[in-house]
Amino acid sequence: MTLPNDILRRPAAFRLNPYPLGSRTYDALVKNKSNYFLLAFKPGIALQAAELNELQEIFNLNNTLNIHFYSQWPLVGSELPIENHEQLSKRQGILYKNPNILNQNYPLMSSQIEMSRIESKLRIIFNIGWYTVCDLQLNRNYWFYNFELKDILIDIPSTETPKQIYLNHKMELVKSSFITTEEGYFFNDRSNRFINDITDGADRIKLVITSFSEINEVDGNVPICKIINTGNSIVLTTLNDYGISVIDI
Amino acid sequence: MKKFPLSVSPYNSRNSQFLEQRITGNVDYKNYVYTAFVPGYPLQAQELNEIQERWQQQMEITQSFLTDYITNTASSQTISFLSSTGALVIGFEPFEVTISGLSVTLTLNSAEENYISVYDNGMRYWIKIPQISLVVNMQNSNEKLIKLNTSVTYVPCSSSEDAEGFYFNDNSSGSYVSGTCGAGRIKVEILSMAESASSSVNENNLIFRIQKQSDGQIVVFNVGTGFIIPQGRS
Repeated sequence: MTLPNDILRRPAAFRLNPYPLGSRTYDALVKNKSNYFLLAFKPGIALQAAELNELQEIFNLNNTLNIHFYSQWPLVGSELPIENHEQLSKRQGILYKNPNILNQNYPLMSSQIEMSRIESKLRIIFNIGWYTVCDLQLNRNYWFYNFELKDILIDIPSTETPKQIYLNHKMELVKSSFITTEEGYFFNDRSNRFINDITDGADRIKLVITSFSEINEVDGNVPICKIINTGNSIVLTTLNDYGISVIDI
Repeated sequence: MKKFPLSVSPYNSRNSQFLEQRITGNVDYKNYVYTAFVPGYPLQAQELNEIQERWQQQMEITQSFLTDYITNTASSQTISFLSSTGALVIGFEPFEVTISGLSVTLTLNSAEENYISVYDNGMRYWIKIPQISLVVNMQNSNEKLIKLNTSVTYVPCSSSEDAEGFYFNDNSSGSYVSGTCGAGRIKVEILSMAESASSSVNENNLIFRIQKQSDGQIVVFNVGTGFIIPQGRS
């Protein structure tokens, strides 16, 4: 499965970014490395043309990722090495083609999450790229970009108890700010090509990934994947038993 | 043409009007995918209505596509040559394939409910399908890829009645008033359908893959979805 993971290297994709349109979607992702998914408008603050443009780009980016994700979903099953796993093989078929995104986190390429063995440990790698994350507290799904490779080392699970890896995240309010060193300085009006630090803008709601971990740090997080020891092999799957990787024991 | 609820006075969203213009015979196509707000111009209520309607419309088409795609996949449609940068098509009989000997005629049908998702540097936009055809000769080839040539342009608002951007002036009074400019628009157009010089399935906006089988039979695939397109309207 492929997603437009290279979109961050393609500023031309963000048609509302060039002056004077000024959408910040591209800059937020590339320069700030921030996943803003909501603009928080406040009464009494002048509305910026750039903010309306940013709203449209965020919507279209989400719609684009959904199209990519679902249009390639049926192909994933044929790519996955799941035939050695009895439990998983029973579930092949259309069930695999209907991901229930409202209660699952999804890595979006079969190569996006990798597993390898380092002596008695397993190394789980979360590659750079797009993921969806589910927030059970808010009952919402969000797309986010993982800006840097993250990996964890875990013990091999027993055959009785599979392990789950949590995608720990939180929502953060980033307030517009007149202080140049703060992230919110970036939200001030810049319609004259420079940031005007006396022209406040909307705040932003940001998704922050705190860790990929065996530990559920915040109530409401859900696992992104699980690791099952079948006795013959170690299988890395999504939460709905969608196979990603297999290591023979 | 399906009307949008915010197209009536005093809300005056222009989406229906933009999409109707081609249907009623105008040369210009009005597939505006963004309302490009420009600093310094008054915000029009109808522009805010327009972007909401566009979101709803784009989302609806995505949902229709997914339903259609998953249904087709479940019914054992062959999936092959799927490309993440290929053109995706949805609608009622959007294709017409006619094979006569080694000559293949490919037609995109511009029925009202037909839309195509074009790829632009990683982003996708659903736009209406133009009525275009291409005849491909398979005499000296076993395989050909067919692509859509597209363009994405910025159309500024204009006070000149002859300009496309004249229709971006304020229309809250019931008619367009010159000198009351608002936002521009980003427009996506399909310029033509042509044989691709590249043999890479990852080229942007490929739409058909024509294959001559070892028994001489011609098979046409939709590159974006990977489905085989049978002869006739489908």
